[in-house]
Amino acid sequence: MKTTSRRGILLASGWLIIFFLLAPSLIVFPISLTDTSYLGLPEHGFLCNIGERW
Amino acid sequence: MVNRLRRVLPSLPWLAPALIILLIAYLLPLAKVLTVSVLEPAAGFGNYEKLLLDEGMRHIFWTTFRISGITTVISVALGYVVALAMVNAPLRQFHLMLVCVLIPFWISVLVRAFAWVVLLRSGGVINSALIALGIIKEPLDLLYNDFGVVVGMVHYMVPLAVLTIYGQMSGIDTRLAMAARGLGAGPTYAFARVFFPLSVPGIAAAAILIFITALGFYIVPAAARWRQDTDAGRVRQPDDQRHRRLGNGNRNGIYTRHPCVHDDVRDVADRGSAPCIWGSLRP
Repeated sequence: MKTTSRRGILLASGWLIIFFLLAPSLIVFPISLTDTSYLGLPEHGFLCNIGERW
Repeated sequence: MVNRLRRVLPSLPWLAPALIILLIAYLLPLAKVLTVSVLEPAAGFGNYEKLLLDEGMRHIFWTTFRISGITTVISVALGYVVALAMVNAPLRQFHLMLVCVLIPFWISVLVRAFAWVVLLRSGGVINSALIALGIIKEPLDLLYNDFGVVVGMVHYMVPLAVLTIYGQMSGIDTRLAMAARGLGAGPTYAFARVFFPLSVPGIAAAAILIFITALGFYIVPAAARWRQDTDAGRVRQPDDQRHRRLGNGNRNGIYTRHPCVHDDVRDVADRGSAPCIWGSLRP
């Protein structure tokens, strides 16, 4: 009985951490379905040449 | 010694392609970077001397090692729990867990970093939920500080830890712990004295992998954007004033560990720091 409950706690902890791993995905996907612009590239390209800077 | 050489020599042709790729893709760029670091702007070890004596650089190194250390400890601890759960899970649940652990790999690290910005910012999901539940009245500072950076980095590192530790754990003979139990050991004792020591190589491998990766982490600190602080990963950002001051030689002195890796990632991240890319998320 005790072993079963220990195993249950272990599995629950594992799933809780996995939820932490999935949290951003759970946010990103619904946001991708909305009209709101959260992240975008500049319309007219980048002003600076990255290659030159290095 | 001669016998050893005789054993190794026949395998050399098979190793040659890998050795050639390693030479071209890693050792040559590394040698080039090291050469620049001792030749520019003047020949000598002046760049390394500057790195050691500059208080700002020492602060950067300390911040980098501190954040990397915290990230490593948390990631390995969380990864160990998930790996242990996977080992003890029924087969169907194990498969589901494995898929869930692998899902973050399918999403770009940049997108994940921005997702954490959405979650952690003052008007973000977590703060809004806590305020709506009446737990807090003012939004918590979850972003633009060490906490935000560590959360983002841990999120990236945990799957690496899980897979590394699980690889070790799955090879442990579970009958050993059962034998310990049969000889009178309690479950905690059997775990601590039998299972855990056998899983230590996995922990060590995961810790090394994560710590080294964390030292050169760029995107999450850039996205979580420390306002008062910086780390070695961020010094690479070309717009950084400190970076300009250091010049090529010094910069190469710092980054000899990964001279050519992740250039594409760095470029994307540099673009990410351009004001226009932040859209409505820009604070």
